[in-house]
Parts: sequence; C-alpha cells; structure tokens
Amino acid sequence: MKKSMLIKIVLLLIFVVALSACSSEESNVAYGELDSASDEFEYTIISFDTFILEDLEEMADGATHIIRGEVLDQRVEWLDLTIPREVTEQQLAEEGLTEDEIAAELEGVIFEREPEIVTLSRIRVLEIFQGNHYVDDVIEIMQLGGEYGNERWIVDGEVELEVNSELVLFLVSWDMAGLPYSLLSHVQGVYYIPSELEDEYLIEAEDEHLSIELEGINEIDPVTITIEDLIEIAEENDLLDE
Amino acid sequence: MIFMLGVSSIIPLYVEASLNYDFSVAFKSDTMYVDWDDEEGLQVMALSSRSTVVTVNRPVATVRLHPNWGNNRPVEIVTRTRNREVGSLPRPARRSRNAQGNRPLFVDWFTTSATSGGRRVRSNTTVPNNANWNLHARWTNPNRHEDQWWQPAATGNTRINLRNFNSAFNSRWTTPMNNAIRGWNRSSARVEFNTNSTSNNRVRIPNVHPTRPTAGGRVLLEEVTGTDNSRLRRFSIELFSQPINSYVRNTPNATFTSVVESIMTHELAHVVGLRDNPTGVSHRNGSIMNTNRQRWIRVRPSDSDISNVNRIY
Repeated sequence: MKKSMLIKIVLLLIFVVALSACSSEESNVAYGELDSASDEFEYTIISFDTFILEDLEEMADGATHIIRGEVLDQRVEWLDLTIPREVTEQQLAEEGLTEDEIAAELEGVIFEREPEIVTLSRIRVLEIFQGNHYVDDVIEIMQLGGEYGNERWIVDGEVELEVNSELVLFLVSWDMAGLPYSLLSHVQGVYYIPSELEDEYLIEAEDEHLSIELEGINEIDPVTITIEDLIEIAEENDLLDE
Repeated sequence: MIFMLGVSSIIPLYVEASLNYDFSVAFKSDTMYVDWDDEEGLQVMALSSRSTVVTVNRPVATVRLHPNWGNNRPVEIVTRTRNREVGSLPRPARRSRNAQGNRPLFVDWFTTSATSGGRRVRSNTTVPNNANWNLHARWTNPNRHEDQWWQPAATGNTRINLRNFNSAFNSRWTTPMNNAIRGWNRSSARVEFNTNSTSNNRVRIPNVHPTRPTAGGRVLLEEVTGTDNSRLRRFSIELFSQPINSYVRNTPNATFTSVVESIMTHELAHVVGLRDNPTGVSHRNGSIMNTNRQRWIRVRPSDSDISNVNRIY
C-alpha cells in the first residue's frame, strides 16, 4: 500500500514537471490583443515597405495606365502571382541594362511563388489619361488580401476599392505574365474625386478649366495632383479628343 | 533516512486529504509540498530532508487589477497564493477606438499605474507576501504596434529565431541583411534575432511582388486564432530585387547596401510588433518605420523605435 502510494506521488510529480515544461515554451505564443472568435481562423498579416514616389512625373513613369474608372464588383481568389524570369529580364533590358548587368542583378533571386489570396475588382473605364484602353472597356485590378474559407489575409494600410465608386487609378500592367493590373502602390495608386466636386469636375473637364485637386487618400503622399495635371499627361500621350 | 521517514509519515495525511479535497504536489530544491484546500483555507505540508513533516496555512493575497483607463471603471479582484507564482491573470479589453478605428492594445499587468517603469508581472512572477497586491493594466497605441507580438522572455531579451540565409544569397545581399540583424541585436531593444539552420522563419529574395510593384520588402506574419488564444506561428521576410535595384539606380545618394539594410531593419521591426509610422516628410528619418524615410540615411532603428519595442517587451 505504501509503495503504491509512493509510486502515485512520483507519477504525479512527473506529471506536474511535464505540465510546467509545456507551459515554459514561450517563444511561440503571441501577446497583445486577443481575438475571442469562436471558430478557428488562420490569419496572415502582411506589411509592405513601399517606396514613396516624389512627384507626378515619377508616378506617370511608373504607371503603364492612368484612368478614371468605376468599380463594378469584386471577388476573392487564390492566385499564382509568379512573374517569370524572362518577363523580368525583358523589363530590365528595356530599362537599358546589359545582359551581364541583368545576370548580376538576378543572382539568387527566386521567381516561383506560392498562390496568394487576392481581391479582384472589375473596373469600367470612364476616361483614359495614359495607356491603350477605350472608354467602357472593363479591366481587372488585383490587390493582395481578402477572406477565403477560414483564411484571412490582411494587408496593413491597403486601400479598399468601394463598389460603385469612381476613382482615378495609376495602374501597372502585368499582361505579359497573364495577370490582372495592379495599383502603382497603395498610397499613390488610387485618388478619389471629392463627391461635392464631381459635378464641377465634369463641367470643368468639358471646359478644360481644370484646377480641382483630387483628394489624396493618405497623408503620407507628398504628391498633389490636379485635373490639369492629368489632362497634361493625356495630351502628352495624344489621348485628348479633338 | 530522515527524508524517507518523512515520506512515510506524509502518506496517511495525503490519503486523508485526497478523500475530500483536490490536492497538488510541488517540489522545490530539497522540499516537497502537498497542498489542498479545506474549511480552514489552503493547507500546505512541507517535507524536506532536514525536517519532519509540518503543516502550515499558506495565506492568500487579494490581487486588485486596475484597468487603468477612464473613471469609475470596475477593479477586478482575484486571489492568489502568496509566495507562489501568480499564474495567468485576466486580460482586459477596451471597446473605444481611435480615429483609425483601432482599439488600444493591452500590454501587460504592471506594479505601477504610470505609462513606464514599474515591474512587469508575468505568469512566473511570485506573489508578494502581502494581504493586498495592486496591479495596473498598461496599454499601447494601436497605431504604434501590431495586434500581436511575441511573448516577452521572463528574463533578458526575447529571442526570435530566423533561418540562416548566408548560403542562399551572395554577399551583396547578406552583408546588409546581417548588418540589420546586428543593428537590432546591438541596440538596447529587449529583443534579439538568432539565426540557425532549423527555423521555419525565412528570408527570401523574389524579383517583385506584382500587387505592390513599388515595394522594396514585405513581411508575412502567420497566426491562428482559436477559442482560447492567438498564436504567432511563423513569419517570412521578402526583399524585392527589382524595385530595390531600380530605386538605387534612380535615387541620388542611395546605395544598394544602405537601402537593403534599411528595408531589412524595417521588416525585422514588423516581426517584433512595430507598425508603420507614416509621419510624412517632415520627420521622415526619425523612425525606421516611416515609409517616407530616406533609405540611405535611416538604416538602423532610432531611439523612438527602440523605445516602442521596449514598451511591449
């Protein structure tokens, strides 16, 4: 009897030691705000370190298309975002890099990507300031993030394109990789025309007396863009109607 | 011999206690403790190799948890055994949100109501031998910190592992990446990064991210939220070759080494829980978290970055 009780106590001690060992594995446990969701979700929180462009010229150079468009609808998908090596090599060659410079720049760089959750917005083109589209074309824009099943991808600071809103968009084409357009950046890719100025915008645009500032969506954007600026870009691209 | 005598004399007491009460056994240095609650409160039997069995009452401390915000907020009261580890404590939440729609984040319980200083109370902190113990919630600005961060180490710096990348990339990349790690490790921030060959936390260098073509880097923090808690599982850092090289080519004064170090330092700051700090161009180089910073000037964490890390670690 005494022996068996002693064994029980020893076993209990082992159990207590094992419990304390489990609880001491601290490095894997998150602190901060706890979510009391009843279901289990897998969250991926993404933060980009984005270069802020200093002026409109840089923005226009970086964008392949600048349009005004209306957001029609949205959906969320897993998308393979691979940009093949040959596409990158072609882009670098167009920037003027030699073959040797391209090879040096791409050493160790990976091209294959795992699929990621993106939100795809269909946009009806209303005006074109730069790029090869027509009014009423419908294009797609991809933005990282969204909810699919029990997975939620959240991108810090990402701009939500509201359905039915009209926006001026600075876009980058990934047509050569078979992917939708992307915004030039979250800060400098989307501009809203203030609703109180929408009527004035249309009238002024017809008269080409253009001095209406677009509403910058983010205070860190150092660039102020006017409608006049956009018209100048359209003029440079020979896109103004006679 | 004395110890064995003690063990044999404790067993009848254990049997008696186990008939009616939940009990627990703990072992510290050369002393074994058996605890149970009865009508007289918590009872403890202590047995060591130098003494016979003694039975003592272990007094309880009343722990008052002050939410530390607003007026007339209720103080939650719990009891804990004195001179024992405090264990887990309730975590308060605030419903109010700031202009960006984020709620203040609970950091931890501290022994002072001030916004800095005092002693942080962790689960292994020993409850003082007093009848009352006042603890105060400390909060942080959600614009400053991510919603989740790694649990602070009980003592010293909190260590975060990262897969060694030196054999994966050439020295053009690894030199500034290692400089960034050293920049954090040699700072007074209470975190340190440790590279090893087994960690699931990795650094990659893709050509570009097509949804953010002007980004020089990003970090992905993966976490699972369940019914009980949230857990950071792993992270990955990506440095984007094409935008970084393009930025260096087109920006006077920018060097590849400084830009990569700046971006790597920024992403490591996200890993430990700092959020972007978009203060515009007026103080653009005051923080490694400023997306408007000049990446050939601000390459290391600033004093305010380190201070923000130490608010939560």
